[in-house]
Parts: sequence; C-alpha cells; structure tokens
Amino acid sequence: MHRELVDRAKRGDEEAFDALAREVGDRCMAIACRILRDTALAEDAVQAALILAWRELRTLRDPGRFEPWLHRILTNECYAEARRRTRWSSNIRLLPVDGQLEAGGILTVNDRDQLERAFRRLTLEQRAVLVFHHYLGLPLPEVADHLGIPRGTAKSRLHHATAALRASVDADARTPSNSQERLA
Amino acid sequence: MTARDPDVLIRAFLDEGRTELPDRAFDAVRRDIHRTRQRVVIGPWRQPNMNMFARVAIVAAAVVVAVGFAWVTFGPSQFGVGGPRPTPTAAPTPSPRALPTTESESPLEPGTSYVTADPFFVRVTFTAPDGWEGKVGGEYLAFANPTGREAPSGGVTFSKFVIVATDPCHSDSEEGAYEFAVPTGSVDNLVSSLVNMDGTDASTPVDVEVDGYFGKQLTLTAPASFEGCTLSPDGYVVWQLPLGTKYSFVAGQRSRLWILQVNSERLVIDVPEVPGQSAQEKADAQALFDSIQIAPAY
Repeated sequence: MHRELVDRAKRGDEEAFDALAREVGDRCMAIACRILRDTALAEDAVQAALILAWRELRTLRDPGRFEPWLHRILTNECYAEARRRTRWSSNIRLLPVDGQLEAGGILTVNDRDQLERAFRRLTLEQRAVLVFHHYLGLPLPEVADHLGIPRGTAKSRLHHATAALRASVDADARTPSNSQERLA
Repeated sequence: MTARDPDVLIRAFLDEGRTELPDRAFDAVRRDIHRTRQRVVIGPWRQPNMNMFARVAIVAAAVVVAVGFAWVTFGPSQFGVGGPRPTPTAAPTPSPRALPTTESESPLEPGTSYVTADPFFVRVTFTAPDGWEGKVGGEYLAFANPTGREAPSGGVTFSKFVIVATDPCHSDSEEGAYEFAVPTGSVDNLVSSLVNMDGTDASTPVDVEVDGYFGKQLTLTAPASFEGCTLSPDGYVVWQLPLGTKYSFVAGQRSRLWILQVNSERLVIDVPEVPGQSAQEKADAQALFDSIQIAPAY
C-alpha cells in the first residue's frame, strides 16, 4: 500500500511523503497517545517522528517495512518526549480522555480509574509493548520487530505489564466499595 | 472469556482515547519537511535482521578471505614461488571513537574521528586537531580544546543550554537574572534571547545549514574589559546548562555560535576566539568545525 509512496518519498518527493504521513499519521497518534497518556505530548512525538522519518528515509532499505521502521522511530520519540516532560515539569498532567468514554461499554468508571493508575506506574517500555500487542494486536515477534528489541525482552515486558494491570483489576474486584468512596 | 476478564478490560482500556492526528500536525510536518534535507546515504546498507544462514555464509566468506590473505602474505610467494605479491589496499575508514566521558579532559589522537556518544544528546562527529583534548561532560555538554587551555577558551563546545543571562555584566545581581529559554522551543526564540542580552554585541543572525541541519549563526562579543561590572564568582556568565553548569565569557571573547534544530532539540556549537589565542589554534578550531557531522542520538 505504502510502497510506491515510500519509493517516491525516498527520491525527495514531498507530496508523496505528505500523502504517506496522512495514511499513517492517525495510527501513529493512536499509538503515541496510548503510550504517553497525554494528547499534547503524543502530537509532538508524532510530529517529531514523521520529520525524522523524512530525514532518514533513504536509510530504509525495504519500502515494505516502512511502518515497522516508523513505529520504532515513533516509540523512541515517545520516550524522548516523556523524558523531556519529566525533566522540565514537576507536575504530572492527567490524561485528557477527549470525551471518548463509552457509555454502556464494558469498562466501569472504577475499572478505568484502576487501569489508568496501574498503567501510569508502568515504564514507558512496558507500555509500548502492551500497546503494540493488545491495541494493535501484533503477535510478540512483530512487537519485538516494531520496537527493535529482542523477543525475550518483549515477552518479559509484556508479562510484567500485563500482570501489573491484571493485579490492579483483581484487587479492585475484591474491594468494590472503594469505587464509591472515590467517586463520592 | 467473560466481559470481566482482565485481558478484555485491558484491551477495552487501550481502545479508548484519541486516534486522529489533527490537521495542524500534518501541516506542521509538511512545512518542516520542506525545510529539512534528506540524509544522503553513502556505503552499504546496514542489515539489522540477519538470518542464521546469512550469518553462517558471511562467517564462511570471512574465513575464506582470511585464509586467502594468509596464503598470499605468508604463503609460497614469501619464498619466491608464484607471482608478485599484490599491492596492499588502503585500510577501511575506522569508525569514530567515542569522545571520553572521563572526569577530566583526555588527550585526543590527532587526525582521529571522535563522536560525542552517549550520554550527550546528539552524535556529533569531528576530527581531532593535533594537541587537543576533550570530553563529554554529560547529556548537555561536550567539548574539545587545545591541551592546557581551560575550556571553553579557544576550543569548540557542543551544548544544549536553556537559560540565558539577561545582563552578564551584573551576574551577581537581579539585573543579571536569567531568562528561561523554552527547552524544546524554536531556534529563533533562543537566538532572540541572545541578541537581547545586555552588555554583549550580537551580530545579525543569519540562516545556516550544517550537515543538513538548519538553524541560525550569530557572533557574540564580550566587552574588552569588565570594569564597572558586578560579577558573581562565576564571572561574566552568559548562559547556563540544565544541570547548573555556567558558561562565562572572558573579556574580549568573540564567540561564533551555530544554533541548529536537531530533531526536537537545539544543538549549540560555540567556536570562541579569545585574546591571546594563536593563529594555529584558530585554524585548528575552524578545521574541527569544518569536519563536523551530525546525527540524532539514536
């Protein structure tokens, strides 16, 4: 799908890269938002990743691998954005959810609250593995490929991250009254 | 699997949230790529994912080449048997060495390429002049200078500074307070802070490109004397790095600055000229600057 656009962009065709960016930009934003839990930071990370991708595009050998290559750049930019935020701000911004809470969905307010807290305690690297595996639905070998890490590392990060999130859900299930106290 | 299955809840949780990149971001990318030159790729491709067969084949090929080389070098031709020995070929260009991260500056081997590797935030490669030393001082600072000269006098400094003094001549008072330059802001706002600094003369900033990265170049000149100034113990402080390291000018210092946007960061390259600096030292600093190549840290 992207191959022709990538080929043209590699030859310096800005229109082709613009079209390519519009094809992959939303997916990148979705990934960055989920890793960073902050739409402003995510937007900055995606922008930086796309510009870096343009600059480095000629180093991409196989145009068919554009998206995994871009995702690797994107996750690195997410890590960089988060580090900058940590360094320069003592405040942690809460996630703007953009009004997309699903009424009638399977998540209760309490589930969401528990998962959000647990997710924020994960390292960025663990979050990235979770997002690529559970959100994008990639199998572990592909997760490792997209993130540029060994499969064993991806597996270990996924295991620990999933366990932490499961524990938060399980713990909450055992103390149902907590949610009412927090909501009060 | 039920709706209360933790894995289902985790997926549902991750499904929530924004999935669209706003148009302004696409527009910004379009603007930026128009100003960003693509890196020119020279040499063989790097092959990050090599299968086992390919690895074995390459190792086998290397063994064959090594045996062949040994045969040619130490084989029958050594003893007058066979044809003339082949003319030696030029050695491949070595990878740049990492600029030391030692406590104090380390001597640099003349003519050798060094790179400001981890933890410095950008990979800057340069060729060391004869009689120079250097080090990476951390994430925000790397430099090289003639041996024996106190950095940064007469050397070349690479840094990411974020706080600019408003009046270096009064660094011990509130007048000399620092202006916070937005860490991930544009080159222009940092240039503006420097141009507006009291006490130093600033040349008109001009657009420049260094190794494919765009930015501004300007020259800051400190007064010939600091008489009448009320300086802090750190001297005529012009800017400060994020972890507190202060950068001071000496009287009469003339600093040529290149402020480049390297991805989302600003790299500041300072080539200062100071009183008493020899013509050779100036030429060496210029040669080092001319050899610079820049790449992101990853």
